[in-house]
Amino acid sequence: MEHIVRLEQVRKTFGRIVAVDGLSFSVMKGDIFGFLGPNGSGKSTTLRMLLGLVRPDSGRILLFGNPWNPGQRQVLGRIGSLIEGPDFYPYLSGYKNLELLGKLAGLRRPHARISEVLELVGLKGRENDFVKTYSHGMKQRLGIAQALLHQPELLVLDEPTEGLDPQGLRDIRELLLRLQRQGITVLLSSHLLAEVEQVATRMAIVHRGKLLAEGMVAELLSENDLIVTVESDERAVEHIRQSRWLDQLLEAKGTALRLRMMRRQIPELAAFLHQKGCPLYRLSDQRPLEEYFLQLTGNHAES
Amino acid sequence: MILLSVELYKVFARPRSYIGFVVITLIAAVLLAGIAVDGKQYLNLLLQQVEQYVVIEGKVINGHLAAWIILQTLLVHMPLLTALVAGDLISGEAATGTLRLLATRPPSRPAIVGAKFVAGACYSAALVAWLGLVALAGGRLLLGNGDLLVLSTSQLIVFPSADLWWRFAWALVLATLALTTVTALGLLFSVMAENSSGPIVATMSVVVLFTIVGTMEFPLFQRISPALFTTHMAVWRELFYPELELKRIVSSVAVLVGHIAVFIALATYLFSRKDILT
Repeated sequence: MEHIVRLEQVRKTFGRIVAVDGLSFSVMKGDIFGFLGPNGSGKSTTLRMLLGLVRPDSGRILLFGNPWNPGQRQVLGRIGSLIEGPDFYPYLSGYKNLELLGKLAGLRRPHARISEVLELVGLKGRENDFVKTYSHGMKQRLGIAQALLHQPELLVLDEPTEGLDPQGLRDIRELLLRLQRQGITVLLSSHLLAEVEQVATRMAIVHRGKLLAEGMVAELLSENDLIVTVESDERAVEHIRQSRWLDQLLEAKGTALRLRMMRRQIPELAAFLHQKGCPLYRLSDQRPLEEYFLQLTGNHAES
Repeated sequence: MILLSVELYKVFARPRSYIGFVVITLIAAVLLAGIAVDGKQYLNLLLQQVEQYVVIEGKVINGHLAAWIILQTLLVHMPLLTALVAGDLISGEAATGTLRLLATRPPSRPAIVGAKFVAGACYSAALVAWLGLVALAGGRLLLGNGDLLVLSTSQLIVFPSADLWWRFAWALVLATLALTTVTALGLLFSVMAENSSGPIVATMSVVVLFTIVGTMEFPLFQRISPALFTTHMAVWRELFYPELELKRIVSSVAVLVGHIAVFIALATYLFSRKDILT
């Protein structure tokens, strides 16, 4: 499979602070690649190095199979990016901002494309207002619009859903999936686990500038290792404690139970409680990524 | 060219860029009004020492004299107006975060510095052109045409009206070059900062410091003075001396162009190596 982005032992320090420490990972063509890590883990610095905003101290970055060379900046015309918040020229309209940025990206006549991306991000009708009148959510949408303007092959998004309302979150999620179907590779950095879990095909987890894990989301988050929360009554707690389920019981708090189990065991548990005549008020599996993420970063912090 | 057109658009679309034009218009209007009302008295005061030797006839208080007085007064202060825009060229974009948008697109960093410098120089040229227009057009409209009487330290010079247009035109060109040097200095400081107030203050501080060094009559300062760009910023006045000293003009132009080249080369080097973290 074709590598779109490849980092090899990349390191960056700011004075005594090691922001990125020997980081290596690859983004394949067609991926929605989740780049996860807590705040301050080196995600943004890594993305800035990919885009030539920051120079790595050592290591190698390859884009579209070629080593990144500040002298050959045409490669940036194949990348759309939104890094650390959507900042624009506030004294210009949204449309004018896109027009100027489109021209810089090499679009000769950007007008038709601007209309398309405005429609795509839901800003049609507000494009002629000054950006200084936009809400944060609108600026975020404009940020995504400018990243898509020149029809990039790789989209690099740093926390793209920050400040968006639930509808906005959903829109962006659907947009990313649509772009993936069109063959665009997406590198999505986030500290929001659910955001990555719902759309990413592959992911990397970083902490304190180091890579903790990389691989297919499905492989890293085995569906056979779920945390299931059950809400029933006091009798259910007793029945669980006296059965084979006891080994899998993680926590019992009032009438709520948390058990670790495989996916296929969920109906078995429901049948067991039904058989014991216990009511089932709630049965849900916890997001496995959160558990996995906390486990990884927690272990790393302890070590 | 696309990058330059974008930079020019940004410079001239910003409300801040028009502060200079408004300030020039206001000051020129105040000076014109002052000359129109009290110009005669002012001139009598200036000429009282020479009046016993020469007879001055004709319309001495005219548009050309007003324009010359306005240029003398305003060109000294214009570096501040230029620094307001030049100091903001890169640092302003760093502060607002738009530098990321610019630096993640195909144009190279040296190209960005180059385009910003040319846009800043165009702004300086526009300011000077506006000053020339307001001073000359305003002066001639209000006070009419006439010969220009210039009183220097040792002589009284009269420039016939017909001999003036090219002198004013070249004076404005040389003033633009002087202000472009300030633009280049502002851009250099702008590359080093993440907000615009620092570069603006630093640019003006250098202009003030160099001007002080250039005007104090200490032997050491007098040796340094010819190498300072501020010493050559008033080169436009050469156009209003009776003998045109081309050698002096060329030498001043060379010093100014040399400073511009050094400032822009340094700015390009620093910006190319800069980590953009804002």
